[in-house]
Amino acid sequence: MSAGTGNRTDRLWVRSKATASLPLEDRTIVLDLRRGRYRALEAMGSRIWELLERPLRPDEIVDRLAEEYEAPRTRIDADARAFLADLGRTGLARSWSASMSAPSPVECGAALVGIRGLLKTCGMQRALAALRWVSRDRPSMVNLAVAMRGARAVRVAAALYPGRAECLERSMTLCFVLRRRGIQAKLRLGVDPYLFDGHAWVEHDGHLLDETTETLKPFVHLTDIEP
Amino acid sequence: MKFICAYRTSRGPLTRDEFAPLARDLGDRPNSKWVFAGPFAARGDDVASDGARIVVGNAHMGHGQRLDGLLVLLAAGGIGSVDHWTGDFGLVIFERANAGIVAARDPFGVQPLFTAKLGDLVLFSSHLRALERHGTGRYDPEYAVDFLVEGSTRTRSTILRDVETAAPGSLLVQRGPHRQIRRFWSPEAFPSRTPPTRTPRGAQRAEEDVHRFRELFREAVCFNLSDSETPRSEMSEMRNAWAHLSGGLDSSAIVCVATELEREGLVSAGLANTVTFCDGLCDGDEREFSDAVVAHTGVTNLQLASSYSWQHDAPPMDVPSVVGHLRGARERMAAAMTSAGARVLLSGAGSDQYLDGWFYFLSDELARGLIREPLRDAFAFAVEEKRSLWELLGRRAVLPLFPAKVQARFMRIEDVLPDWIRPEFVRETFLLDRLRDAYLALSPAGKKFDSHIAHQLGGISGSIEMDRYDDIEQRYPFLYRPLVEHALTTPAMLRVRPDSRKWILREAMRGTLPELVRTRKRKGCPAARTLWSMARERARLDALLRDPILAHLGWVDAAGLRLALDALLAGRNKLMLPVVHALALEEWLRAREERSDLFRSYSNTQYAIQEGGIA
Repeated sequence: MSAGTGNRTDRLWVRSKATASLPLEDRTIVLDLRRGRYRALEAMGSRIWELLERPLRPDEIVDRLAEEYEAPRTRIDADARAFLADLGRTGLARSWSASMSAPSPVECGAALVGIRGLLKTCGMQRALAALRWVSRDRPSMVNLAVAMRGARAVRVAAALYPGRAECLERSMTLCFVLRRRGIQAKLRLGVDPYLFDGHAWVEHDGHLLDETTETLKPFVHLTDIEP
Repeated sequence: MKFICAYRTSRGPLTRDEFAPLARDLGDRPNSKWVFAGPFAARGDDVASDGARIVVGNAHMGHGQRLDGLLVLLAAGGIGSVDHWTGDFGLVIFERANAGIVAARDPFGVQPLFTAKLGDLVLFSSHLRALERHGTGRYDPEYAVDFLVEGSTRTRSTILRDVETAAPGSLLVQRGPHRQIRRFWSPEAFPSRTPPTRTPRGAQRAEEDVHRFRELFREAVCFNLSDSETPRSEMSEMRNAWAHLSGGLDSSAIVCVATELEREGLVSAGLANTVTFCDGLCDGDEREFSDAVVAHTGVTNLQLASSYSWQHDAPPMDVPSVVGHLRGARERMAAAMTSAGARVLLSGAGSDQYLDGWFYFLSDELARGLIREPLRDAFAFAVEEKRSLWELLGRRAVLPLFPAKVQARFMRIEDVLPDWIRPEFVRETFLLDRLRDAYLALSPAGKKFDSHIAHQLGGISGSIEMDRYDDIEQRYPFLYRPLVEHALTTPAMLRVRPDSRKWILREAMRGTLPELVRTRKRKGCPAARTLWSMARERARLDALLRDPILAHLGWVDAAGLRLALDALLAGRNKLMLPVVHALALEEWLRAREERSDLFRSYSNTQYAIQEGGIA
């Protein structure tokens, strides 16, 4: 996602996945795999690049740098933000809205309609590919509270949906809305080997979302799909 | 306990020579008593008489009252006192004064009572087999089709056309040729209260309901633990009651309350043991929950593993039974109980019929002119139970208010009918009409929920009938009459709440049941094991269906049934139960017609025990 929307202070920044980097003593060499170009990041830029290994807000980066460098905070803040904007422009880093608001039932409802349509028209493989494409370059953050609220919102959307939302549709919807926020979500598929019933559910950092271990007891885990 | 009795409607005397051949099929029971009194004759394990009456049958009335105790009650209150009895009874009373008989059965049909006519004789028995030779021996197609589709019947019919069951909660009065049947108990007499549950007064009333439910449930367990034959002083030495402990909410509640009552000194003898069928396949393993109850209460627990369907190592049951394919497991449990001197088995069955139900209360709310309440309730249910709000509202709130024809267009009753049942058989037996009664909400607006619960309770005697043991008395604390009557009057929302079925029971068991069990939302299902067993015993099932009696009788299409079994094992057929029912019925018919060489020549018990690791 480009850095062009929303209040930048509310955004989270992380290195783009299409990069490779080599930290040297006084600089870091970064290879932009998409464009096939090298860039060298000096001193503070090198440190920011190091910090961007995991998603951070600009304020958090500035706090860290202010602890490490003897310079006025305002200057560090201005330099860091300019550097982040530069990284965003060149595609070496990506940012997205850092607001961790839980998905709303309306958003989940829209996603459910889309995913249902995708499954019906393109089949499961392509629908999963689309899900992967949407969540490309997203980090995989742990936020159980938001994930649980997302699961509840999907339930509400599914209840209001004009028709029966199957477990695969619900689970893919939940994966979609969480992964869009950079929140970890693993789509798991299982099967009851005797009744030949399949089931899909979502896990977040090892926690079941919207399921209990008891309800999953009949199902043998078949495969995981981590968009 | 077994009995058979006969009454001559012409009032002529019934002699031993006439009655003895009729009573022959009761089997070799050296301790059974014989009674002859004018037009009445009886043979039974328990017969009591005084100057006014003779009573024969089965009864558990708690606190030491069996048939002798009933004579005292009858002397004090007359036949009318039966209306108010609490307990399980299926008995026949001969009144010397008017030379008439009264047959009475408890409200839920816990005790068996079969009846048949033979010329001018009316016969009653605790067992179908004792009466089967006295009629034409023809089968009842209506019973058969109900059994195939639903696993039981709600009518009074049995598999034999000439034999009926006495209606639960009714009195049959026969004086000479005149017969009168009077219903003395019906769930319709206990309508559920309409709730103001969301007001402070409503909340207080709900608390009172829960408290009363708890009291009555404790009373129910106490009542069913009480023994009639053992003197009170010896009871603690002679624990003869076991309890099922499946790990589910109901059986666990009984075990926990029984141990609580014993700790408090309110029962002289608590449970001698508990028994759990263990199955490690898919979600059949409930040991996590049964072990939690064992740890919580300290009861002993016998775990029976490696028991699976179609272990044909026991004689067929008295009536066709949907649990007939589990006879091997049942026999192992019965043998363990008998060798330990146990005589009574407490079962958790019964509560599903009145503490749970479809969402017809939404329709009742609409019928009362409420809009917001049913919408709010339906939304809560839809979200918690992952259902579609619109489907829930449509099927359970709005559609029930339309005439039967409109309901039938949307409910697609034909979907529950397997295609291997012959269509002409379905037509002849008016099955679709009966299914419409069962699946459509045809009762007056505002009474849909109560009517559905009454319908469910009406089917419980059929289920109990199929789950009977010969020498073990199975008792049902959840079918304790005052408990059921109280529960029926509670508002529907105290029973069925979003994601908390049987809410009132769960609340009443707070602090008594381990939380792991009290808050569990579902129960393990043996369906996977049944399918596994079908594949495992495929050769035997194929042999069973090669030339089925069911097809000879014109009830099913044999080739279609075989295909249905194939499809089931390949995962293409989701209608498993009718196939299981067909196999159970075919097997019972074969045993009856002595065509069961297939099973006699082959035993897999030894094999099964060796495979203990499977379960």
